Amino acid sequence: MDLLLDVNVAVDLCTGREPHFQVVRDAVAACRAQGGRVWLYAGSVQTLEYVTRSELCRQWAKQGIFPTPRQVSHRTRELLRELAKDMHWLAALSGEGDVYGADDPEDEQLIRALRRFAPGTIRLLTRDAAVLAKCPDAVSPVDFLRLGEKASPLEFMDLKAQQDAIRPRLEEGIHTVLHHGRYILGPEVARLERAVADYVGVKHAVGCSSGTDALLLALMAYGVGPGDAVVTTPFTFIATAEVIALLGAVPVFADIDPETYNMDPGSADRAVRALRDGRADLHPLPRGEAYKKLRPRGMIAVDLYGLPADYDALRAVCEEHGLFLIEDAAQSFGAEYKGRKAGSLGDVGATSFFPAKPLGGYGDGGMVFTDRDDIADVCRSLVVHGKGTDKYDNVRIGLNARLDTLQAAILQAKFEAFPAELQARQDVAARYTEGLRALDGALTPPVVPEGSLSAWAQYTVRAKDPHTRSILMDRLKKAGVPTAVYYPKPLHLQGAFASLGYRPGDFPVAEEASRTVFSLPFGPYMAQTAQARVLDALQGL
Amino acid sequence: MIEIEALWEDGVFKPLREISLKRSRVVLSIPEEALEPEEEQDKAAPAEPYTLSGEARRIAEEMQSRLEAVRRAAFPPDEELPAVNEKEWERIRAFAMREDR
Repeated sequence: MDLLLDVNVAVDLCTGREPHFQVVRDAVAACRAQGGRVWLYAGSVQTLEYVTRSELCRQWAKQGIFPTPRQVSHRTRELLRELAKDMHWLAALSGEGDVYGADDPEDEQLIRALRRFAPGTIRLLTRDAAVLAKCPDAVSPVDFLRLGEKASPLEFMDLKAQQDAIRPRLEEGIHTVLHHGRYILGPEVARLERAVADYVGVKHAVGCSSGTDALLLALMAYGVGPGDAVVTTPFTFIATAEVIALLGAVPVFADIDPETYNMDPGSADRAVRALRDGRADLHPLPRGEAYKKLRPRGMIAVDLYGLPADYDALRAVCEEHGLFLIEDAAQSFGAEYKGRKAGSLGDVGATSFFPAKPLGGYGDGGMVFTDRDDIADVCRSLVVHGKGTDKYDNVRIGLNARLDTLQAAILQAKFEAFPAELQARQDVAARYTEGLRALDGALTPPVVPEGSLSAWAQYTVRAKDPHTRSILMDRLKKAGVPTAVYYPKPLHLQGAFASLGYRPGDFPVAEEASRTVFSLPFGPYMAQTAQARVLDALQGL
Repeated sequence: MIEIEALWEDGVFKPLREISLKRSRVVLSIPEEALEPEEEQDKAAPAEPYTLSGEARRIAEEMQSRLEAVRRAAFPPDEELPAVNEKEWERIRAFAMREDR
């Protein structure tokens, strides 16, 4: 439960005004202890300043202290800055401007501002009897404290904490787009593409509408189609293989490494040889007449949970067989492999800006990375209906797959905070790994090979068997700790790919992983107290 | 005896017209209704029982200590601070009527 502070209680807190200070302080502290946020209304800054000033002068006069006007102004502002440090400024929106029909326009602004929040998630903290009488969501400090503290549930991924940290930049970016009105391919898109390309270390970055479309664009740029086979992992989100099938090509799966969960280069090599030589005895291939004469074209490696695959080995396989190598970096933006950034590790990289990703927007978005001018040119054409010189000159069948300007503005704000967040992810992961070591091997923590840096899209552990996983997840749930399984069914056993004729046992390592792994709550803003709560719950198992 | 109007501002009475005094100390008569009742000011908050968790208590104490540190710090020398301009003074006077108590 959040609290929006009316001016009277904000002044009580700031000035230590008796007899109200203690109860207001306790209400604000109780809100924060429950994981709630305390808001100050940005439209109240002037009132806050002058009422605080007046109250301070009153208190000082009582004590016979008469600072100069400059000293009064200085101290007032110092106090307000200190007060606001642990609070969040709630922007005054245009709908809170025309309040002149209300009995009290200032109160009306605060009451209207509450409407932006989901019902039951915020209260207006006030001592003003008139506001308490007319606003059902208003509450006095004492009544708020009478409600008692309820621990907020631990979130699997706390996206609100990030928003709190970068709200001013987010709002500035969003409002800038609303005002300039270039909603499609506005200047924010090109700026983001340039900044992200430089960060990843590639020549070109092409924004698009999702991580799935980024993969699709990469395959389309290579002209993948019917009769082609693309080798990939079965232990990933369906998008990786879905895009292959969408183009009429066939996903051919290779098993995974049992430690990193990424595609096993040895299995990938066998898959290509089996395809090339028509040797299903070498490696499980799609079953059926329709799949007898597949042409191996390329490979999509996935950086699962944020950890880059073994690109040196995979590239060697691709080079030997003349295949393209696409890096599915949907989960690994920011990760590194032997000094190079994820996104730059294949011939083409594809990432996702889905909200839960390491660099996530507030909707769908994605990006294609490449050093190749020809691939970049085709991708830029494909995202706008296969445009040529302009959008009414269509030189190929394309998609409507642009990254929209609002998402780009949001991503720009998030990208500025990204390096610090990436470091924070390393710290949170290190604390988990250290905590798990004390559990005597009940759970296997994730492995990061030397020379790699994970972006920690997820912190995924492995139980010793499916039964143990089920017990652990159930007990964690009872302790209020959410968990998730990525992914409970490998792709070769999904109904969507039933026509490929794969069977249980074809990829035993992926199948075993899908039965034993689960992910713990994680995020760069995860408080040590929240992490301790997870580890404590695990300790008791 | 003359009567003049004065503004109570930042704990100081300021006459609203020019006057010349032979003495620096004079006695002001203030009507009862203009005074704030002291008993109201100092009345304790309603003693409602509520419980505060250890974490909330920690946050409360930390917040209080930070704010008190600012409130109790020595004032910087006046000459080192930016001037209060006329525009700001006008606002201060306008808000002096409002106390939000």
